[in-house]
Amino acid sequence: MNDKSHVYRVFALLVIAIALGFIAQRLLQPRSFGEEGHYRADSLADIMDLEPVHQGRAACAECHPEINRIHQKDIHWGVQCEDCHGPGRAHVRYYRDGDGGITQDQATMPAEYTLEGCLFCHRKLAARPSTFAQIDVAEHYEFLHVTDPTTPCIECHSPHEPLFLLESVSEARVHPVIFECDDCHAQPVEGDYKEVPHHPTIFVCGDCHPSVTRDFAKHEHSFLRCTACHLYHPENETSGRVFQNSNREFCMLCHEKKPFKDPVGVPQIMLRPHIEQMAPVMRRDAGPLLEDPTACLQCHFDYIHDSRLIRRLQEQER
Amino acid sequence: MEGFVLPNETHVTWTVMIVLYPYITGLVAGAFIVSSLYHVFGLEQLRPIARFSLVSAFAFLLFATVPLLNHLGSPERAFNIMITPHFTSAMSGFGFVYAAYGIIVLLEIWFHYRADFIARYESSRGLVKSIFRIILLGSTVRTEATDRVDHKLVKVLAGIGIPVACILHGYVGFLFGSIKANPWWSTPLMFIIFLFSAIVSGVSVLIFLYQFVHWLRRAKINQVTLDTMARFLWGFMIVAVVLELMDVLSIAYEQTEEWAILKELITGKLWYTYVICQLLICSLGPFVFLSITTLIRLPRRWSNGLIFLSAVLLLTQVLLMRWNVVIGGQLISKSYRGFTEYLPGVFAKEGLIAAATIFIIPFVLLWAFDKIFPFFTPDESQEGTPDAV
Repeated sequence: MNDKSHVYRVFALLVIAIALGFIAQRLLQPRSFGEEGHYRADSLADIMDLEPVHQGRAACAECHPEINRIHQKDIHWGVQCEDCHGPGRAHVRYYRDGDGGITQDQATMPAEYTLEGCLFCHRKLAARPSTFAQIDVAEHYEFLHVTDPTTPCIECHSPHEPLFLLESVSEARVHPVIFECDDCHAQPVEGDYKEVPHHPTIFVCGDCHPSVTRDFAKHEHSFLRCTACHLYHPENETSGRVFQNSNREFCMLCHEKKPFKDPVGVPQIMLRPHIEQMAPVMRRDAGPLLEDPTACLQCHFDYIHDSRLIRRLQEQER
Repeated sequence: MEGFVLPNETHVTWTVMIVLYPYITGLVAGAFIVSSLYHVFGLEQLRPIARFSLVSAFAFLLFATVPLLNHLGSPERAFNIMITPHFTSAMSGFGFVYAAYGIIVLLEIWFHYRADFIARYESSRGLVKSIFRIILLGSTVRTEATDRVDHKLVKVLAGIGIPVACILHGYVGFLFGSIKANPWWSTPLMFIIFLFSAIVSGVSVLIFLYQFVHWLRRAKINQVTLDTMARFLWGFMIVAVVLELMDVLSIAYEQTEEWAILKELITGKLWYTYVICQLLICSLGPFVFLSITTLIRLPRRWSNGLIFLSAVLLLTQVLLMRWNVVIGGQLISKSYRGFTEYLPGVFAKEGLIAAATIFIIPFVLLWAFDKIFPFFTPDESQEGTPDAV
């Protein structure tokens, strides 16, 4: 036998393997690859033939009109149902079209209401505009005396109706831009900007509503910014909409008694028993109050503003 | 998260798997270069470790891409980079370089082990005999002339393998160094830094395994081989660490706009993993220990202990270097004004358990290979020594 026969064999095998590799590379290359660019040209038609997996809000509204109604009026109106629930094709096919090829399991849509799911949009980031609702979870929970850090957002906030607006977003009052300190300042700021030399002049609430802000400073809620309740949502660089939130559900975001909250801190109640217990004391009828979405303000308005002052101002405005 | 982080930067995309990928690839290149020092440059002192380093290179090579495959959402598409390569993508070349290198190492092992295969073929029967016949491609004759041819080809393949090994690992560095949007990665030096750190890790893992296996078997170590490897490790680690430091120093001296954020990265997020662990403990420590073992005559027990400790520390140093580069680079916001965060999960798909499993399998393979063809023979402890020559 030749001394190099094994060398010839192994290199012949190598050449065959490389040749097969090249042939395989040619054969495995998709047929229309490279015709239009560095991709399979046929994929364009394939993609166009695909049935959309997203169904759109209208399809959801067909069967869930009540959720659609509250969703449409509140601040999440611009968020599509499928942004949180995932694509709805299997769900619609199963429940609306009765497609037997889909199981109930496949048709069940997830609810992305976990803490992380909400924080995808609402995690506090310096890069987000300060007017966009965003939180530092630790700070937020400390402020609300939430003791369990794993508490999901939906324990207090309804994703369909996050602000519990009594009027639709589209009917909210147009308001000039409201500046917040953290538009420019990374750290929390205290005091009035007017006390800072050479600070740019900005509009603050007191410039147009001096009597209200002066009075507000005397009330229990004075540690809050006006925009904590009169939520401001920018629509462009100079103006936005301001929501005058008087829904009891909004008050309950802070004041509802929950097992994951420290009972010492913010005053906390259970709404229904509280109304039933306090209505006779206040010489009110509990029945209508239980139905009234502004029930909290019926008795507690003066914890926020002087009711006579506000009434007088409203009369002047009319 | 700290400072100004853009909303699409909150998630670190390249996980601990991408840390492991250059680490294992580095072990491949380093181990191969050690084997070539004997095969090509005739460094007789390394003869006892030469075949072990060659097979180690192959075992690590087999698993170099596993972390990448685990990282991919659709690993079945991995071959597309070779079927439809797009040469504007830095990654597209990797498949070809990796394949070429794999062929070279496999051929070298085949020629190197041919005599052992024939011996096993002749001593076995039945199915095992047939398997060895297939492995030998039907060529079962061994003569002095065939041995000469095999040795020559091993030398040639090892010679070709050196630049390919350099390209393979340098290429991994290039993948990071060519990303111009990342100030922590974008440097032409990355190619060379990765290459030298690869050699350091390769030599370290060989020293570690060599000493560990001999300790486990209560076998005698070839002192000349160990001392030679330690000297090479000392030299390569000096070059690797100096290159890394010079790279950082040059950016610091230039005071370019990215230095502001890099300084914060080094003194903040990477303070422990980079400054304390990688530089002070795992670089300065081995430098001092290896300087002592190289320059001062110590009792063997002490000297070998320091070499072993240095190998372990340098293996950790290179792993930390990969972590600090891969993860560190992603912690910086593109705004240059903030940092995101990353902590690997333990049981996650790309978590620490998965990483440890992928990293351990090549060692298990080496153990299995050693059962069939032992790497170290009892008389190996004397090979390469001046008395034996």
